[in-house]
Amino acid sequence: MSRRNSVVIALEEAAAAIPDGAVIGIGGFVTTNKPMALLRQLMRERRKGLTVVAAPSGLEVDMMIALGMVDKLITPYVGAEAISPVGPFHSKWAGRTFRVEEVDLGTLVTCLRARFQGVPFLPVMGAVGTSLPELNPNLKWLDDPFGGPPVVVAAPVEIDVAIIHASQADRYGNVQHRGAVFVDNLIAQAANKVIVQVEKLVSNEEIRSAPTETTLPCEFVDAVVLAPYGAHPSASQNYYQLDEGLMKEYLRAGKSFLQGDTAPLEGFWKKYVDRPATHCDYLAAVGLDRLFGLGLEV
Amino acid sequence: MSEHKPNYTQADMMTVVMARLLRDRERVFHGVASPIPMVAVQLAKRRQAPNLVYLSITGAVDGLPEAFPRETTTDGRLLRNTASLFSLTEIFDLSARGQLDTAFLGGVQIDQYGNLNLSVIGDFHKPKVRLPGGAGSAALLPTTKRAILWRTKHDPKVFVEKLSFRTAVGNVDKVITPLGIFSKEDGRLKLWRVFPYSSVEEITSLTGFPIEKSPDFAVAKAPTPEELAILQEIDPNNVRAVEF
Repeated sequence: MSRRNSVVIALEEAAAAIPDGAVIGIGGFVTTNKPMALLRQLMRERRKGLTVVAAPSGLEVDMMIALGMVDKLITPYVGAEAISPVGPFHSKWAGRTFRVEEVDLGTLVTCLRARFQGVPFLPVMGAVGTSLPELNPNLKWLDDPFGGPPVVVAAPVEIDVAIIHASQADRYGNVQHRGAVFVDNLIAQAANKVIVQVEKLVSNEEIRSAPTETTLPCEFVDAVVLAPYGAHPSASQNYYQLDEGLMKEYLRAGKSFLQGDTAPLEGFWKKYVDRPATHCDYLAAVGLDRLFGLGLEV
Repeated sequence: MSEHKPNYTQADMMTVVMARLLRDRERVFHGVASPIPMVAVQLAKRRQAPNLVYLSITGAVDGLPEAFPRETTTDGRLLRNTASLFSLTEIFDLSARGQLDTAFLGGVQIDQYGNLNLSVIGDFHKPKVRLPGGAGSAALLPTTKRAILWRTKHDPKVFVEKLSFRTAVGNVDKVITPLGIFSKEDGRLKLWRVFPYSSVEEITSLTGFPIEKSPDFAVAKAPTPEELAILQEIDPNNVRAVEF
């Protein structure tokens, strides 16, 4: 009898599927469930010329901008909520080192749905009266063929590789989020290739024992990477909270850099990106005390 | 202006008036970075709106956190005790078909028409500062039945004559600041409430557009002992004040 293939691969192999110039889709939401292990591997390898299509983003996108990896950014939000309303490099370098395609989440969702459904465009409710349609090449005005007022329509956004963080998966790529999915499912459905990093690998039997909890079925998932604590310093729902201290360390280093003192940021890259050769080395650099201290108690 | 120091904070005042604006049975949504709405919804549910349906950005329906997270409103703690999970995309659908009653939104700049800028300061292509971005506002603001905006700063840089950029336009009903509440009437923000510790003069001097009073203008009632007691009970860590 032939055996079904596993889609579990190493982090380095997953990153190799993302070349310079790729359009990547990033799941998660602001400071939660960001696929940091995969992104850190791309940072380590200094991937260049990326178009980033992202759900509302936290500091990971700011870090990629700081490292000169991003050419074009399509995301409704970059910030770290109460920790910092803005990302320092996103805030200062927009229009200089990278272009922004202005988009809100409702519009982005529509663009992803258009791609997922295989239709040439979909109407967007909202955005009328804003500055968006004149600035975003994916939006156009169209006369309603059914006689209503003109509508804004959105073109599909196509993603080469989606990278997503989730709680667990089996070896065949059935993925479960123990918590919010946010727009991970849409980003996966709009992508040509989907890589999911997970806190835990579980058996196919365990997945089958709770099929309604499967959030990304294997038909959408090309590869799974085991990355415990892989969302750090963002939170991983029902696993650990965000690491405010590490985010602040980055923000301080970034602000110093923009004021002319480059040493703290160079130190940050060295400590957290370049010196740790693997994800486990990164976790060791952060320290187990610190990681285990990010438990779920309030 | 009161001679006595009030026994409540500006954050308490904003949370309490926000909660009072909510109605029983309505469907209410808040997004990312929304600590005051997160607490206000629970206060309203404990008082006049037990049947309010609370939809949070995490996808929780009527979640009841054991305690509120300080730094974020996207955290899994908001899923505690949820009755069910909805997909975030469904919020846009719900709103687009006219069934979202109230959305809480914010703006870095807000003009006298209640339009928002969350995108850039300066020229779009070469901005002086790129702001966080509009998140869900451009789609939700024009489609929700009403939007309640809040901002914990009241100064002429926030309440401006002219926006650098129009990120979102639409159904603003009320705008809550640390000093008072604007109400959108006849297409413009009118001063509807002033808080007991502020004054029309103070608000006028700190607003970048001309102040006109609403016909229903009044001094807001200070938080009652009952409201403050519930606040203390549901939010002992004072998460409602993190934006100050």
